[in-house]
Amino acid sequence: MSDLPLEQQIASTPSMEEAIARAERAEQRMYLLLFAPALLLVLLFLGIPLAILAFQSFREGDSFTLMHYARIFQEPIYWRTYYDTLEISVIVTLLSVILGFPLAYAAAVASRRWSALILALVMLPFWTSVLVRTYAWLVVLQRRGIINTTLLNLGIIDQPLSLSHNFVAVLIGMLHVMLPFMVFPLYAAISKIPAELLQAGHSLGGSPAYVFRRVILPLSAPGIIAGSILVFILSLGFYLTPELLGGGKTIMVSSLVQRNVELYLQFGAASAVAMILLVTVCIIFWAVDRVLPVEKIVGMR
Amino acid sequence: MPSTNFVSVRVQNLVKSYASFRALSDVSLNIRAGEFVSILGPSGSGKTTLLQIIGGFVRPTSGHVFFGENDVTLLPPQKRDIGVVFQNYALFPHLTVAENIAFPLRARKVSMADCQKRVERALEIVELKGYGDRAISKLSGGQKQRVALARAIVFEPRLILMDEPLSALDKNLRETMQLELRNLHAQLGATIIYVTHDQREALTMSDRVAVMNAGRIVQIDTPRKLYTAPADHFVAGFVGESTLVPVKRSDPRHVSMGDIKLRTPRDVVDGELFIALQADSILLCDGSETESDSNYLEGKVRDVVFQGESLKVPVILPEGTEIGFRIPSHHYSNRTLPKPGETVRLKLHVEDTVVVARNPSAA
Repeated sequence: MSDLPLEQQIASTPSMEEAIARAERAEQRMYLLLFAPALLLVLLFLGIPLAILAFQSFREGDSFTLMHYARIFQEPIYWRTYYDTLEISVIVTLLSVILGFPLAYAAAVASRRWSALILALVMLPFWTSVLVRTYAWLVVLQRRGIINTTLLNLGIIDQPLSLSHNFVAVLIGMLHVMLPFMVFPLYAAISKIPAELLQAGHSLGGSPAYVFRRVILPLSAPGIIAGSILVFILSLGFYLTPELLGGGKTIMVSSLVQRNVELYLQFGAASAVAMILLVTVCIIFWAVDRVLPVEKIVGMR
Repeated sequence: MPSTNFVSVRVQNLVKSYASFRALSDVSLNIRAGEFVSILGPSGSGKTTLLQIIGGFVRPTSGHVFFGENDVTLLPPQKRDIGVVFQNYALFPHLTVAENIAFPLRARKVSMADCQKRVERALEIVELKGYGDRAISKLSGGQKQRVALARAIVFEPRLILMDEPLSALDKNLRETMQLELRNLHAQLGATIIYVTHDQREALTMSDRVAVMNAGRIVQIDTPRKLYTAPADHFVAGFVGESTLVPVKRSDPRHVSMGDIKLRTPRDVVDGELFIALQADSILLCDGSETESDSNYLEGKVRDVVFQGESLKVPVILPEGTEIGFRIPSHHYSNRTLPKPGETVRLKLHVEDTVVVARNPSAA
């Protein structure tokens, strides 16, 4: 190669550059090919149904209409339901952070055996169907359920507490289902915090509470955010547990959709209800993202 | 930062046992206020355990730790007032440089104004003025090291502990930081306990070095003493670049290595003895030279290896042991450079003829 005169070496450069560029393009095409099945799946089973849903929400018979949306805005029952759905989802999310954090922290700092046990216990409910678990809660919470009879027998209460078919019952049932979705992201975030940082925090004079507030909590923020997003979104669309434990009193948006379809065969109205929920969620996340720099927190600057 | 907080440290009969393993067995250590003591040992020798106990992160199985006159054995780390510099710096990634340094002050509820002043001062000491607003991830290794240092000294601790703080830096930066740490030590009058497995680091910086092996302190002495009067064969083998060769005592002032008789600087007691041949203290010499304060050896050159600032020459002694010596790699020594296969005559000063006994408890 060095035997060639200098001009020839330089002359050969452009074709080399071209070859490199070609190789790079080929590599990118390869990646695109690998990525295609996933893209196709999302498009086929998420994109298209969503588009149909959106289309349907503007149709009545064979004509374009805004009546489904108009009805939602006119009838207070819809507003009430959206509000209730958001409220219960926020409460479930907050409670699952509060209940999930100690669990996740314990699993992260415990010895390997304890940690495996804690995580297994958190995961165990996953292997039982939500329907079975919800009925189990019904048995536990009803007027003559385990809790009421125990409390009555112990003489702590005179009247059975009304624990089922109300807000509290829905909350308990939903929390039980959602907790694992919070614990796992939290566990992942907390176990990534190096033990040295905690030692450093203590050696620098931080009490356990101070180190928790200034080191552990901010460093587990990515987990809190990831878990909260998961739980919040799943809660918004939750149908089975609120329907069974709420006893028709606490109606979530999902129940509205179901009623519109099953009772009244109103696909247009059901689609509109779903579309508004979707838009609301998008607006909420957009707003949260403006206030809290999520990517910054998750990406740790 | 004229600080009078620094205290003496006394470690008394520390024992730390884990289920089936004794990390520390009966370790005692006295460190004067303002002294720089290194704890040197191979990995697994118990040096980090000792540091963790002094720092309060681990409780000993038995024994005491005193800061000055106070028994701190049961105090949690946050009540010990120790500045700790960790191996990987342990800087808080979500805080800026200034926030990291202010952490110990804020934990002690120091007022904001005072806090700011002291952070500025600490940044000046470690020569990072103006870096306060930087994110930790934007710093180089050396800068992180300085921030960790500033954070450890800003609250005027009673003691500074360092756990291999320079091990992640490259060689040149490490050497600069060693000298800076020495200056800082003099400037602050700090009591510093410094854990390392790098003997050059320990010898460069310390007033005294404690050599640990298998959960015990084998010897605690000045760097020079460690070289000239190692306590046993372990220290002799660990410090410097030495080869241990078994020898026999022939009379109080002479030992024999095969057919070669070597004079020793002090009387030797009989037992299982070794001579510690330091690569740096062996020199090439003429065949005819005979000085009264030199011991002479002969051997066959196996190889000559260029290692940058010096050449390492492995030599096989007549009875088969391989030792090594170094020749500076400048061109003056090229003229007399030995060749592989050649037989050379070597000399060793009597004072450098270090003979040690085997310590049966050391590996």
